[in-house]
Amino acid sequence: MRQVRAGVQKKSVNRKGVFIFFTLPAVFLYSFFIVYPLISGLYYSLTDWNGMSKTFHYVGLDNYHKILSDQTSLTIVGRTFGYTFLLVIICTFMAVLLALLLNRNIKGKSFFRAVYFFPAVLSSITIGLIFNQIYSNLLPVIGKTLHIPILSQSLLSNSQTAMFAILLINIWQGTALPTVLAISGLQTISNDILEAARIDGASHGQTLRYIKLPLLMPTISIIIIFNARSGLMVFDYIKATTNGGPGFSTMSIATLIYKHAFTDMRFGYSSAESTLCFLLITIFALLQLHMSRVKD
Amino acid sequence: MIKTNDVSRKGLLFNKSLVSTISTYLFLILGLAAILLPMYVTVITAFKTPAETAQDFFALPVTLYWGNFSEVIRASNFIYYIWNSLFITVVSLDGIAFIVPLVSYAVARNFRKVYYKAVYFLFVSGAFVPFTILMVPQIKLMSNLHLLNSWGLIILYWCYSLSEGLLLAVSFIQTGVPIEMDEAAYIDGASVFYTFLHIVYPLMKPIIVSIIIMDTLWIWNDFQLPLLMLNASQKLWTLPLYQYNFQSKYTVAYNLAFAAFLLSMVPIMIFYLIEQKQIIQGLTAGAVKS
Repeated sequence: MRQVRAGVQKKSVNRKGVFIFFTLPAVFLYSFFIVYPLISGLYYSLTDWNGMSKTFHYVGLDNYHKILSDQTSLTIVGRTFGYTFLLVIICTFMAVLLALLLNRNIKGKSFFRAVYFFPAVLSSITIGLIFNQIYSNLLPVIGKTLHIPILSQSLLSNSQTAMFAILLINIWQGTALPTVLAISGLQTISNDILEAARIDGASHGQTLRYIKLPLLMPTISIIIIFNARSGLMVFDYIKATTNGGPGFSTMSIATLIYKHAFTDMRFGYSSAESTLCFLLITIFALLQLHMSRVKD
Repeated sequence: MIKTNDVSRKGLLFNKSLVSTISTYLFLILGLAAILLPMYVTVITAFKTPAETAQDFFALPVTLYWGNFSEVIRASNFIYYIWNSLFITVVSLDGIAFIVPLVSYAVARNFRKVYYKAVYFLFVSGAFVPFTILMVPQIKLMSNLHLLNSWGLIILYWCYSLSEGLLLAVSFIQTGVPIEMDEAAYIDGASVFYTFLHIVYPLMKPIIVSIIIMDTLWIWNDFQLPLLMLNASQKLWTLPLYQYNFQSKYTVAYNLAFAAFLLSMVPIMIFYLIEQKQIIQGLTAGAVKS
């Protein structure tokens, strides 16, 4: 027995070496295609490269300077954050509300759940394009027959309403997954606690306020992170509808970087924007981590 | 006196719960309508002639008009784009279904060692780097390597899948695949790779299915990466890219546009109908973990 075990151990030393080869191809691919571009982007952000020419110059922090003093960029960053804020608030509220309603004793629960989840499996570009058609061809017809001035022309061609129209598309799809998350979050709350609260004479409102919502907090923070990410990176819906217009009124961080890099050929400049964006998001993430630690 | 009071209170309670039940249903049905309305418009418009649509956008089609679909398929090499999407999705998933479990197994079984820990954090931290930040230098790299094609895209999907894949699979192995299974196999003289393939891999099936479902939807539906990688050559377009470009060409012919959207959605709708439970499970697991 002891001999066998010693044999196994000795062999396992050799075996452990094999594990390295399991990881090597993946580590190589990942380093080359993800880590290296990340670092090279940092370097390009210090140059005036247009992405095509053979020569370019080192310009130091010039790009960063320009971005931070460019009013349009700052407006777009502010808009993206405002958009994200609204998206997070509305989607979280809707998801929790729908989950609370679906968690009641109602008929057709699984049918409702299946339909509410459905938008999550569709391509965001398809959804964006469908809504684009609805906004530009369908709603104006309704607006004209009902004599509602604001609906009589496409919501997307009005710089006051376009971003909200895009937000609505995002909410339509962005509520789906959080609703299902919230449902499964509610189902993990044990019936004993709810029963005890009922015996103690707690009202529906009290149960919600002091038991359900606090116990749902971990799920809610997942929902918030999920929607915050999609809001800050919003790209597909804008591409499908306005492409940033009219003017710059629906530009987001992602579409702006895309435009500068691939349309305007300002490669160094857009690399600097990416780096700043990375800093911003890291700070955001650290703050969030800090806040969740303080809560604990 | 007490009795009547009791009864009236009961009546009140009954009324209250009735009202709340009705308003619950009302709200849920309203939500249902909000979700189904765009789908309804898509389906009916796809089956109508332009003249019918001009008459009344909301009315059901008088007869099912299939002309839009045949027009879309005939005029735009639709089959070609389906093939491209299928090819990219299937080849990416084949690679993912092999690479992710393989790396996860190595990491999970050696988690105490510095190298494997570093590998784990290298991959997992990638989940926090948004694509917006990476896209500019990454696409430059791919273009320098002449990899702005399907294979380049597939390689990138392999890389990106590692982040969430490892996060899910490593913890699955650590809690769900006892190391005694490996040791028993080793005693029988099995090699590490044999043990992985014939003992560990089958036990990982539930998590692999979750990862595959998550990644199927992600890759099949993805727009931003194909836009950057493939948009220059029409031959390589995937379904989302085709829809995007189709839109800008046929802004007026919206019956055709809706027919194209519907055709593009059908595969995923069928997938959802068949695998609904698995899909909901897989996607929620992915969201919770990352």
